[in-house]
Amino acid sequence: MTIPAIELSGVSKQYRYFKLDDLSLRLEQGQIMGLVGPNGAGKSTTIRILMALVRQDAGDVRVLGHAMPKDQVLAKQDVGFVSDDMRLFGGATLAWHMNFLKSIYPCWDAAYAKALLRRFHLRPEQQVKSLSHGEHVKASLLLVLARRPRLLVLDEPTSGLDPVARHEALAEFMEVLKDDRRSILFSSHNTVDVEQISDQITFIDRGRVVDSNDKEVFIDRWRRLSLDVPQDVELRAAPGVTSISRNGRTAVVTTNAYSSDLHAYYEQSGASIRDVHRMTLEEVFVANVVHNRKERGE
Amino acid sequence: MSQSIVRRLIAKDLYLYRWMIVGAAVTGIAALFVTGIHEITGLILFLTTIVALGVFIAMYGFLVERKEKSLLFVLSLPVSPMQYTTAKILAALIAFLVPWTLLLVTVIAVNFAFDPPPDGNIPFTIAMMFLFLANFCILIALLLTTGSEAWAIAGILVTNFSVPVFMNTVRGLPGIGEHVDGPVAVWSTAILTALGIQAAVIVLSLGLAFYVQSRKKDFV
Repeated sequence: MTIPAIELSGVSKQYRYFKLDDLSLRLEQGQIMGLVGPNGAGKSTTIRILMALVRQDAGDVRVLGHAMPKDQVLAKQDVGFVSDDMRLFGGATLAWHMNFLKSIYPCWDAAYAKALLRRFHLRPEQQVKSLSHGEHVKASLLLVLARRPRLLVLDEPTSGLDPVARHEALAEFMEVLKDDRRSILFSSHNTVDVEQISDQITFIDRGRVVDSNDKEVFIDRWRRLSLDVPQDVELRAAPGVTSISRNGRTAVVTTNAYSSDLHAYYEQSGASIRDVHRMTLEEVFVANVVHNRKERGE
Repeated sequence: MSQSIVRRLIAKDLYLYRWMIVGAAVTGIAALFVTGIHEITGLILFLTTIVALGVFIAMYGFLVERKEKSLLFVLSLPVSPMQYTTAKILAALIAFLVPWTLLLVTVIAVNFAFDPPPDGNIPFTIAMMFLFLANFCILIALLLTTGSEAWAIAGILVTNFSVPVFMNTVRGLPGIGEHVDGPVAVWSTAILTALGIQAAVIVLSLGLAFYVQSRKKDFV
Protein backbone atom coordinates (compact mmCIF):
# COMPACT_ATOMS: atom_id res chain seq x y z
CA MET A 1 0.00 0.00 0.00
CA THR A 2 1.41 3.40 -0.97
CA ILE A 3 1.76 6.28 1.44
CA PRO A 4 -1.00 8.85 0.91
CA ALA A 5 0.07 12.24 -0.39
CA ILE A 6 -1.92 13.94 2.36
CA GLU A 7 -3.46 12.57 5.51
CA LEU A 8 -5.18 14.71 8.13
CA SER A 9 -7.02 13.16 11.02
CA GLY A 10 -8.94 14.93 13.74
CA VAL A 11 -7.28 18.25 13.02
CA SER A 12 -8.52 21.25 14.99
CA LYS A 13 -7.43 24.84 15.11
CA GLN A 14 -9.11 27.50 17.19
CA TYR A 15 -9.01 31.19 16.36
CA ARG A 16 -10.96 33.94 18.05
CA TYR A 17 -13.78 33.96 15.52
CA PHE A 18 -13.23 30.70 13.66
CA LYS A 19 -12.64 27.06 14.45
CA LEU A 20 -11.39 24.31 12.21
CA ASP A 21 -13.17 21.39 13.77
CA ASP A 22 -12.04 17.76 13.75
CA LEU A 23 -11.03 17.82 10.11
CA SER A 24 -10.02 14.58 8.41
CA LEU A 25 -8.85 14.25 4.82
CA ARG A 26 -6.94 11.75 2.73
CA LEU A 27 -5.49 12.26 -0.71
CA GLU A 28 -3.91 9.27 -2.44
CA GLN A 29 -0.86 9.68 -4.63
CA GLY A 30 -1.64 10.37 -8.28
CA GLN A 31 -4.95 12.05 -7.49
CA ILE A 32 -6.24 15.61 -7.68
CA MET A 33 -8.43 16.71 -4.83
CA GLY A 34 -10.51 19.86 -5.12
CA LEU A 35 -11.10 21.52 -1.79
CA VAL A 36 -14.23 23.57 -2.26
CA GLY A 37 -15.80 25.94 0.19
CA PRO A 38 -17.24 29.41 0.53
CA ASN A 39 -15.08 32.31 1.71
CA GLY A 40 -13.99 31.78 5.30
CA ALA A 41 -14.79 28.04 5.22
CA GLY A 42 -11.32 27.02 6.38
CA LYS A 43 -9.66 26.09 3.08
CA SER A 44 -6.66 28.36 3.56
CA THR A 45 -6.29 27.40 7.24
CA THR A 46 -6.27 23.73 6.23
CA ILE A 47 -3.64 24.39 3.60
CA ARG A 48 -1.54 26.49 5.96
CA ILE A 49 -1.59 23.65 8.49
CA LEU A 50 -0.52 21.25 5.72
CA MET A 51 2.38 23.55 4.86
CA ALA A 52 3.31 23.98 8.57
CA LEU A 53 2.76 27.73 8.27
CA VAL A 54 0.25 27.34 11.08
CA ARG A 55 0.41 24.65 13.78
CA GLN A 56 -2.73 22.62 14.54
CA ASP A 57 -4.02 22.60 18.13
CA ALA A 58 -4.92 18.90 17.88
CA GLY A 59 -4.82 16.06 15.39
CA ASP A 60 -2.27 14.43 13.11
CA VAL A 61 -1.05 15.80 9.81
CA ARG A 62 1.12 13.80 7.44
CA VAL A 63 2.38 15.06 4.11
CA LEU A 64 4.01 12.44 1.85
CA GLY A 65 4.38 10.32 4.97
CA HIS A 66 6.12 13.03 7.00
CA ALA A 67 4.60 14.24 10.27
CA MET A 68 3.83 17.96 10.21
CA PRO A 69 5.06 20.33 11.45
CA LYS A 70 7.86 18.20 12.95
CA ASP A 71 9.31 16.92 9.68
CA GLN A 72 8.37 19.92 7.58
CA VAL A 73 11.82 20.38 6.05
CA LEU A 74 11.76 16.87 4.58
CA ALA A 75 8.15 17.15 3.46
CA LYS A 76 8.54 20.56 1.84
CA GLN A 77 11.39 19.31 -0.35
CA ASP A 78 8.75 17.50 -2.37
CA VAL A 79 5.89 19.97 -2.09
CA GLY A 80 5.19 22.92 -4.37
CA PHE A 81 2.95 25.57 -2.85
CA VAL A 82 1.19 28.43 -4.62
CA SER A 83 -1.35 30.69 -3.03
CA ASP A 84 -3.17 33.64 -4.57
CA ASP A 85 -1.93 35.88 -1.77
CA MET A 86 1.69 34.69 -1.96
CA ARG A 87 4.10 37.17 -3.50
CA LEU A 88 7.57 36.80 -4.95
CA PHE A 89 10.25 39.42 -4.23
CA GLY A 90 9.24 42.56 -6.12
CA GLY A 91 12.78 43.94 -6.37
CA ALA A 92 14.19 40.82 -8.05
CA THR A 93 13.69 39.43 -11.55
CA LEU A 94 12.02 36.16 -12.45
CA ALA A 95 15.43 34.87 -13.58
CA TRP A 96 16.82 35.60 -10.10
CA HIS A 97 13.95 33.64 -8.53
CA MET A 98 14.59 30.75 -10.93
CA ASN A 99 18.29 30.68 -10.01
CA PHE A 100 17.45 30.93 -6.32
CA LEU A 101 15.16 27.89 -6.47
CA LYS A 102 17.58 26.01 -8.72
CA SER A 103 20.20 26.39 -5.97
CA ILE A 104 17.78 24.92 -3.39
CA TYR A 105 16.16 22.09 -5.37
CA PRO A 106 18.56 19.67 -7.05
CA CYS A 107 15.69 18.31 -9.15
CA TRP A 108 15.08 21.70 -10.83
CA ASP A 109 14.24 21.00 -14.47
CA ALA A 110 15.80 23.85 -16.46
CA ALA A 111 14.42 22.63 -19.81
CA TYR A 112 10.90 22.44 -18.43
CA ALA A 113 11.31 25.90 -16.85
CA LYS A 114 12.33 27.25 -20.25
CA ALA A 115 9.34 25.60 -21.89
CA LEU A 116 7.03 27.08 -19.26
CA LEU A 117 8.51 30.54 -19.82
CA ARG A 118 7.49 30.26 -23.48
CA ARG A 119 4.10 28.73 -22.74
CA PHE A 120 3.23 31.38 -20.14
CA HIS A 121 4.75 34.24 -22.20
CA LEU A 122 7.00 35.32 -19.35
CA ARG A 123 10.29 37.20 -19.66
CA PRO A 124 12.94 36.07 -17.17
CA GLU A 125 14.64 39.47 -17.12
CA GLN A 126 11.43 41.19 -16.01
CA GLN A 127 11.30 42.49 -12.44
CA VAL A 128 8.56 40.83 -10.42
CA LYS A 129 7.08 44.16 -9.35
CA SER A 130 6.32 44.98 -13.00
CA LEU A 131 4.34 41.76 -13.57
CA SER A 132 0.56 41.88 -13.85
CA HIS A 133 -1.45 39.76 -11.40
CA GLY A 134 -1.93 37.04 -14.00
CA GLU A 135 1.77 37.04 -14.90
CA HIS A 136 2.67 36.90 -11.22
CA VAL A 137 0.48 33.82 -10.70
CA LYS A 138 1.98 32.18 -13.79
CA ALA A 139 5.50 33.02 -12.57
CA SER A 140 4.70 31.41 -9.20
CA LEU A 141 3.34 28.34 -10.97
CA LEU A 142 6.46 28.11 -13.13
CA LEU A 143 8.65 28.24 -10.04
CA VAL A 144 6.87 25.30 -8.41
CA LEU A 145 6.23 23.23 -11.52
CA ALA A 146 9.88 23.32 -12.66
CA ARG A 147 10.85 21.69 -9.34
CA ARG A 148 8.69 18.73 -10.33
CA PRO A 149 7.33 18.29 -6.81
CA ARG A 150 5.50 15.09 -5.86
CA LEU A 151 2.71 17.15 -4.32
CA LEU A 152 1.30 20.47 -5.47
CA VAL A 153 -0.67 22.42 -2.90
CA LEU A 154 -2.56 25.21 -4.62
CA ASP A 155 -4.63 27.71 -2.66
CA GLU A 156 -6.98 29.52 -5.05
CA PRO A 157 -4.28 29.50 -7.76
CA THR A 158 -6.56 30.58 -10.59
CA SER A 159 -8.18 33.43 -8.68
CA GLY A 160 -7.97 36.66 -10.68
CA LEU A 161 -6.72 34.97 -13.86
CA ASP A 162 -8.37 35.71 -17.19
CA PRO A 163 -10.02 32.71 -18.94
CA VAL A 164 -7.04 32.08 -21.22
CA ALA A 165 -4.53 32.16 -18.37
CA ARG A 166 -6.81 29.90 -16.32
CA HIS A 167 -6.98 27.44 -19.17
CA GLU A 168 -3.16 27.46 -19.49
CA ALA A 169 -2.74 26.89 -15.76
CA LEU A 170 -5.29 24.05 -15.61
CA ALA A 171 -3.71 22.40 -18.66
CA GLU A 172 -0.36 22.47 -16.86
CA PHE A 173 -1.89 20.80 -13.78
CA MET A 174 -3.26 18.03 -15.98
CA GLU A 175 0.23 17.65 -17.46
CA VAL A 176 1.63 17.18 -13.96
CA LEU A 177 -0.64 14.21 -13.38
CA LYS A 178 0.74 12.27 -16.33
CA ASP A 179 3.20 11.06 -13.71
CA ASP A 180 0.98 8.91 -11.53
CA ARG A 181 3.06 9.44 -8.37
CA ARG A 182 2.29 13.13 -8.35
CA SER A 183 -0.74 14.62 -6.61
CA ILE A 184 -2.49 17.96 -6.36
CA LEU A 185 -4.58 19.54 -3.64
CA PHE A 186 -6.45 22.36 -5.25
CA SER A 187 -8.50 24.78 -3.19
CA SER A 188 -10.99 27.04 -4.86
CA HIS A 189 -14.42 28.51 -4.68
CA ASN A 190 -14.53 28.34 -8.46
CA THR A 191 -16.35 25.02 -8.92
CA VAL A 192 -15.92 25.12 -12.72
CA ASP A 193 -12.13 24.79 -12.38
CA VAL A 194 -12.44 22.12 -9.71
CA GLU A 195 -14.98 20.13 -11.73
CA GLN A 196 -12.70 20.28 -14.75
CA ILE A 197 -9.61 18.76 -13.17
CA SER A 198 -10.41 17.00 -9.89
CA ASP A 199 -10.76 13.28 -9.24
CA GLN A 200 -11.89 13.79 -5.69
CA ILE A 201 -13.83 16.63 -4.15
CA THR A 202 -14.08 17.72 -0.54
CA PHE A 203 -16.65 20.30 0.46
CA ILE A 204 -15.73 22.34 3.48
CA ASP A 205 -17.95 24.81 5.30
CA ARG A 206 -17.56 26.72 8.56
CA GLY A 207 -14.48 24.74 9.54
CA ARG A 208 -15.94 21.29 8.93
CA VAL A 209 -15.77 18.76 6.12
CA VAL A 210 -19.31 18.59 4.78
CA ASP A 211 -18.72 15.81 2.26
CA SER A 212 -15.80 14.15 0.52
CA ASN A 213 -15.94 11.74 -2.37
CA ASP A 214 -14.97 10.99 -5.95
CA LYS A 215 -16.24 13.63 -8.38
CA GLU A 216 -18.20 11.00 -10.34
CA VAL A 217 -19.96 9.85 -7.18
CA PHE A 218 -21.15 13.40 -6.51
CA ILE A 219 -22.32 13.85 -10.08
CA ASP A 220 -24.09 10.46 -10.08
CA ARG A 221 -25.69 10.75 -6.64
CA TRP A 222 -27.02 14.28 -6.77
CA ARG A 223 -30.13 15.00 -8.89
CA ARG A 224 -32.88 17.55 -9.01
CA LEU A 225 -36.33 16.20 -9.87
CA SER A 226 -39.23 18.36 -11.09
CA LEU A 227 -42.54 16.82 -10.04
CA ASP A 228 -46.14 17.49 -10.90
CA VAL A 229 -48.05 17.05 -7.65
CA PRO A 230 -51.86 17.17 -7.28
CA GLN A 231 -52.97 19.91 -4.85
CA ASP A 232 -54.33 17.39 -2.30
CA VAL A 233 -51.14 15.31 -2.18
CA GLU A 234 -48.68 16.03 0.58
CA LEU A 235 -45.13 15.42 -0.52
CA ARG A 236 -42.86 13.66 1.96
CA ALA A 237 -39.07 13.51 1.83
CA ALA A 238 -37.81 10.13 0.65
CA PRO A 239 -34.53 8.84 2.11
CA GLY A 240 -31.66 10.89 0.69
CA VAL A 241 -33.81 13.89 -0.17
CA THR A 242 -32.07 17.03 1.03
CA SER A 243 -34.71 19.60 0.11
CA ILE A 244 -38.19 19.97 -1.31
CA SER A 245 -39.56 23.23 -2.59
CA ARG A 246 -43.14 23.47 -3.75
CA ASN A 247 -45.08 26.07 -5.67
CA GLY A 248 -48.65 25.01 -6.36
CA ARG A 249 -48.60 21.80 -8.40
CA THR A 250 -44.90 22.04 -9.11
CA ALA A 251 -42.35 20.65 -6.70
CA VAL A 252 -38.57 20.48 -6.94
CA VAL A 253 -36.87 17.68 -5.03
CA THR A 254 -33.12 17.60 -4.50
CA THR A 255 -31.50 14.32 -3.54
CA ASN A 256 -28.01 13.12 -2.73
CA ALA A 257 -28.93 9.46 -3.18
CA TYR A 258 -30.52 9.27 -6.59
CA SER A 259 -31.84 5.93 -7.84
CA SER A 260 -34.81 4.68 -9.79
CA ASP A 261 -36.45 3.82 -6.44
CA LEU A 262 -37.00 7.55 -5.98
CA HIS A 263 -39.21 7.62 -9.08
CA ALA A 264 -41.28 4.75 -7.71
CA TYR A 265 -41.53 6.41 -4.28
CA TYR A 266 -42.98 9.67 -5.61
CA GLU A 267 -45.15 8.05 -8.28
CA GLN A 268 -46.71 5.85 -5.59
CA SER A 269 -47.49 8.97 -3.57
CA GLY A 270 -49.46 10.37 -6.53
CA ALA A 271 -46.88 12.70 -8.10
CA SER A 272 -45.57 12.38 -11.62
CA ILE A 273 -41.96 12.97 -12.57
CA ARG A 274 -41.72 15.80 -15.09
CA ASP A 275 -37.96 16.04 -15.42
CA VAL A 276 -34.70 14.83 -13.85
CA HIS A 277 -31.70 17.21 -13.94
CA ARG A 278 -28.09 16.28 -13.46
CA MET A 279 -26.63 18.95 -11.20
CA THR A 280 -23.49 20.93 -11.86
CA LEU A 281 -20.78 20.78 -9.21
CA GLU A 282 -21.72 24.29 -8.15
CA GLU A 283 -25.33 23.23 -7.62
CA VAL A 284 -24.18 20.14 -5.72
CA PHE A 285 -21.90 22.29 -3.58
CA VAL A 286 -24.59 24.84 -2.70
CA ALA A 287 -27.22 22.15 -2.02
CA ASN A 288 -24.75 20.19 0.11
CA VAL A 289 -23.73 23.18 2.20
CA VAL A 290 -27.30 24.38 2.71
CA HIS A 291 -28.44 20.86 3.67
CA ASN A 292 -25.62 20.44 6.16
CA ARG A 293 -26.17 23.83 7.75
CA LYS A 294 -29.88 22.95 8.13
CA GLU A 295 -29.05 19.56 9.68
CA ARG A 296 -26.74 21.23 12.19
CA GLY A 297 -29.39 23.81 12.96
CA GLU A 298 -27.21 26.74 11.82
CA MET B 1 20.77 20.65 3.37
CA SER B 2 20.01 22.55 6.61
CA GLN B 3 23.21 24.63 6.58
CA SER B 4 23.00 25.14 2.87
CA ILE B 5 19.40 26.42 2.99
CA VAL B 6 20.37 28.90 5.73
CA ARG B 7 23.31 30.05 3.61
CA ARG B 8 21.08 30.48 0.57
CA LEU B 9 18.50 32.44 2.53
CA ILE B 10 21.25 34.72 3.86
CA ALA B 11 22.58 35.20 0.31
CA LYS B 12 19.04 35.97 -0.85
CA ASP B 13 18.60 38.67 1.81
CA LEU B 14 22.02 40.19 1.16
CA TYR B 15 21.14 40.43 -2.53
CA LEU B 16 17.92 42.24 -1.64
CA TYR B 17 19.77 44.53 0.82
CA ARG B 18 22.69 45.22 -1.55
CA TRP B 19 21.81 48.82 -2.41
CA MET B 20 21.22 49.70 1.25
CA ILE B 21 24.65 48.33 2.19
CA VAL B 22 26.42 50.18 -0.62
CA GLY B 23 24.38 53.35 -0.08
CA ALA B 24 25.08 53.45 3.67
CA ALA B 25 28.81 52.82 3.20
CA VAL B 26 29.16 55.53 0.54
CA THR B 27 27.00 58.11 2.35
CA GLY B 28 28.65 57.38 5.71
CA ILE B 29 32.17 57.85 4.32
CA ALA B 30 31.07 60.99 2.45
CA ALA B 31 29.61 62.29 5.73
CA LEU B 32 32.98 61.83 7.45
CA PHE B 33 34.64 63.94 4.78
CA VAL B 34 31.92 66.57 5.15
CA THR B 35 32.83 66.85 8.86
CA GLY B 36 36.16 68.27 7.67
CA ILE B 37 34.28 71.08 5.92
CA HIS B 38 31.33 71.57 8.24
CA GLU B 39 31.52 69.45 11.39
CA ILE B 40 27.87 69.57 12.51
CA THR B 41 26.46 68.86 9.03
CA GLY B 42 28.84 65.94 8.58
CA LEU B 43 28.07 64.55 12.02
CA ILE B 44 24.31 64.75 11.50
CA LEU B 45 24.63 63.12 8.08
CA PHE B 46 26.80 60.36 9.57
CA LEU B 47 24.37 59.64 12.44
CA THR B 48 21.38 59.76 10.06
CA THR B 49 23.06 57.28 7.72
CA ILE B 50 23.62 54.68 10.42
CA VAL B 51 20.16 55.11 11.92
CA ALA B 52 18.54 54.95 8.45
CA LEU B 53 20.52 51.82 7.55
CA GLY B 54 19.19 50.00 10.62
CA VAL B 55 15.63 51.18 10.06
CA PHE B 56 15.65 50.29 6.34
CA ILE B 57 17.05 46.80 6.87
CA ALA B 58 14.56 46.08 9.67
CA MET B 59 11.57 47.49 7.80
CA TYR B 60 12.41 46.05 4.39
CA GLY B 61 13.72 42.68 5.53
CA PHE B 62 11.18 41.91 8.22
CA LEU B 63 8.05 44.04 7.96
CA VAL B 64 7.75 44.43 4.18
CA GLU B 65 8.45 40.72 3.64
CA ARG B 66 5.49 39.92 5.89
CA LYS B 67 3.23 42.68 4.58
CA GLU B 68 3.84 41.91 0.92
CA LYS B 69 3.34 38.17 1.56
CA SER B 70 6.75 37.10 0.26
CA LEU B 71 7.16 35.50 3.71
CA LEU B 72 4.68 32.88 2.49
CA PHE B 73 7.00 32.15 -0.44
CA VAL B 74 10.07 31.78 1.81
CA LEU B 75 8.31 29.58 4.37
CA SER B 76 7.03 27.28 1.63
CA LEU B 77 10.66 26.34 0.92
CA PRO B 78 12.23 23.38 2.75
CA VAL B 79 13.08 25.47 5.79
CA SER B 80 12.08 25.22 9.44
CA PRO B 81 10.97 28.30 11.37
CA MET B 82 14.22 28.25 13.36
CA GLN B 83 16.34 28.03 10.20
CA TYR B 84 14.36 30.95 8.82
CA THR B 85 14.92 32.92 12.05
CA THR B 86 18.65 32.15 12.01
CA ALA B 87 18.98 33.18 8.37
CA LYS B 88 16.98 36.38 8.86
CA ILE B 89 19.00 37.50 11.88
CA LEU B 90 22.39 36.59 10.41
CA ALA B 91 21.62 38.29 7.08
CA ALA B 92 20.42 41.45 8.83
CA LEU B 93 23.51 41.48 11.07
CA ILE B 94 25.86 41.04 8.13
CA ALA B 95 24.06 43.74 6.13
CA PHE B 96 24.34 46.13 9.06
CA LEU B 97 27.81 45.15 10.27
CA VAL B 98 29.56 45.50 6.90
CA PRO B 99 28.97 49.28 6.56
CA TRP B 100 29.05 49.68 10.36
CA THR B 101 32.55 48.17 10.56
CA LEU B 102 33.73 50.11 7.52
CA LEU B 103 32.49 53.36 9.03
CA LEU B 104 33.95 52.60 12.46
CA VAL B 105 37.35 51.86 10.94
CA THR B 106 37.09 55.02 8.81
CA VAL B 107 36.18 57.15 11.85
CA ILE B 108 39.25 55.86 13.71
CA ALA B 109 41.43 56.30 10.62
CA VAL B 110 40.19 59.89 10.17
CA ASN B 111 41.17 60.47 13.80
CA PHE B 112 44.77 59.79 12.89
CA ALA B 113 44.65 62.53 10.26
CA PHE B 114 44.79 65.05 13.07
CA ASP B 115 48.09 66.02 14.60
CA PRO B 116 48.23 65.11 17.43
CA PRO B 117 45.34 62.62 17.08
CA PRO B 118 42.54 63.34 19.60
CA ASP B 119 42.47 59.70 20.75
CA GLY B 120 40.39 60.59 23.82
CA ASN B 121 37.16 60.42 21.81
CA ILE B 122 37.79 56.87 20.49
CA PRO B 123 36.19 54.98 23.44
CA PHE B 124 33.06 57.18 23.33
CA THR B 125 32.85 56.90 19.51
CA ILE B 126 33.04 53.11 19.79
CA ALA B 127 30.36 53.16 22.51
CA MET B 128 28.17 55.31 20.22
CA MET B 129 28.64 52.84 17.38
CA PHE B 130 27.72 49.98 19.73
CA LEU B 131 24.59 51.91 20.69
CA PHE B 132 23.54 51.89 17.03
CA LEU B 133 24.24 48.16 16.84
CA ALA B 134 22.26 47.48 20.03
CA ASN B 135 19.36 49.60 18.74
CA PHE B 136 19.42 47.69 15.48
CA CYS B 137 19.30 44.35 17.31
CA ILE B 138 16.33 45.53 19.41
CA LEU B 139 14.53 46.64 16.26
CA ILE B 140 15.05 43.41 14.30
CA ALA B 141 14.09 41.30 17.33
CA LEU B 142 10.92 43.34 17.72
CA LEU B 143 9.94 43.14 14.06
CA LEU B 144 10.80 39.46 13.71
CA THR B 145 8.70 38.46 16.68
CA THR B 146 5.75 40.85 16.31
CA GLY B 147 5.64 41.60 12.58
CA SER B 148 3.61 44.61 13.57
CA GLU B 149 3.74 48.07 12.05
CA ALA B 150 2.72 49.68 15.35
CA TRP B 151 5.57 47.95 17.19
CA ALA B 152 7.93 48.96 14.40
CA ILE B 153 7.04 52.64 14.81
CA ALA B 154 7.29 52.39 18.61
CA GLY B 155 10.66 50.63 18.31
CA ILE B 156 12.03 53.20 15.88
CA LEU B 157 10.90 56.10 18.10
CA VAL B 158 12.35 54.62 21.29
CA THR B 159 15.69 53.57 19.75
CA ASN B 160 16.09 56.93 17.99
CA PHE B 161 15.28 58.78 21.19
CA SER B 162 18.02 56.82 22.94
CA VAL B 163 20.68 58.44 20.71
CA PRO B 164 20.50 62.05 22.07
CA VAL B 165 19.88 60.65 25.57
CA PHE B 166 23.06 58.56 25.30
CA MET B 167 25.05 61.46 23.84
CA ASN B 168 23.98 63.84 26.59
CA THR B 169 24.06 61.58 29.64
CA VAL B 170 26.78 59.00 29.02
CA ARG B 171 29.14 61.61 27.58
CA GLY B 172 28.87 63.55 30.84
CA LEU B 173 29.47 60.59 33.13
CA PRO B 174 32.59 60.67 35.36
CA GLY B 175 35.26 58.51 33.77
CA ILE B 176 34.02 59.37 30.25
CA GLY B 177 33.36 63.12 29.94
CA GLU B 178 36.75 64.28 31.18
CA HIS B 179 38.64 62.12 28.64
CA VAL B 180 36.57 62.72 25.49
CA ASP B 181 38.48 65.80 24.38
CA GLY B 182 41.82 64.52 25.66
CA PRO B 183 44.75 63.22 23.62
CA VAL B 184 44.72 59.68 25.10
CA ALA B 185 42.10 56.98 24.85
CA VAL B 186 41.06 56.01 28.39
CA TRP B 187 39.11 52.77 28.85
CA SER B 188 37.56 53.68 32.18
CA THR B 189 35.19 51.47 34.18
CA ALA B 190 32.33 53.75 33.10
CA ILE B 191 32.99 53.27 29.38
CA LEU B 192 33.54 49.52 29.81
CA THR B 193 30.28 49.30 31.77
CA ALA B 194 28.44 51.14 28.98
CA LEU B 195 29.92 48.73 26.42
CA GLY B 196 29.03 45.76 28.65
CA ILE B 197 25.41 46.91 28.96
CA GLN B 198 25.21 47.32 25.19
CA ALA B 199 26.64 43.85 24.63
CA ALA B 200 24.09 42.45 27.09
CA VAL B 201 21.25 44.25 25.27
CA ILE B 202 22.44 42.76 21.97
CA VAL B 203 22.64 39.22 23.35
CA LEU B 204 19.36 39.54 25.24
CA SER B 205 17.32 40.96 22.36
CA LEU B 206 18.59 38.36 19.87
CA GLY B 207 18.22 35.56 22.43
CA LEU B 208 14.64 36.65 23.13
CA ALA B 209 13.91 36.75 19.41
CA PHE B 210 15.03 33.12 19.05
CA TYR B 211 13.09 32.09 22.16
CA VAL B 212 9.83 33.75 21.04
CA GLN B 213 10.18 32.30 17.53
CA SER B 214 10.73 28.81 18.96
CA ARG B 215 7.46 29.11 20.95
CA LYS B 216 5.41 30.46 18.06
CA LYS B 217 2.67 28.29 16.56
CA ASP B 218 1.65 30.43 13.61
CA PHE B 219 4.07 32.07 11.19
CA VAL B 220 1.74 33.82 8.75
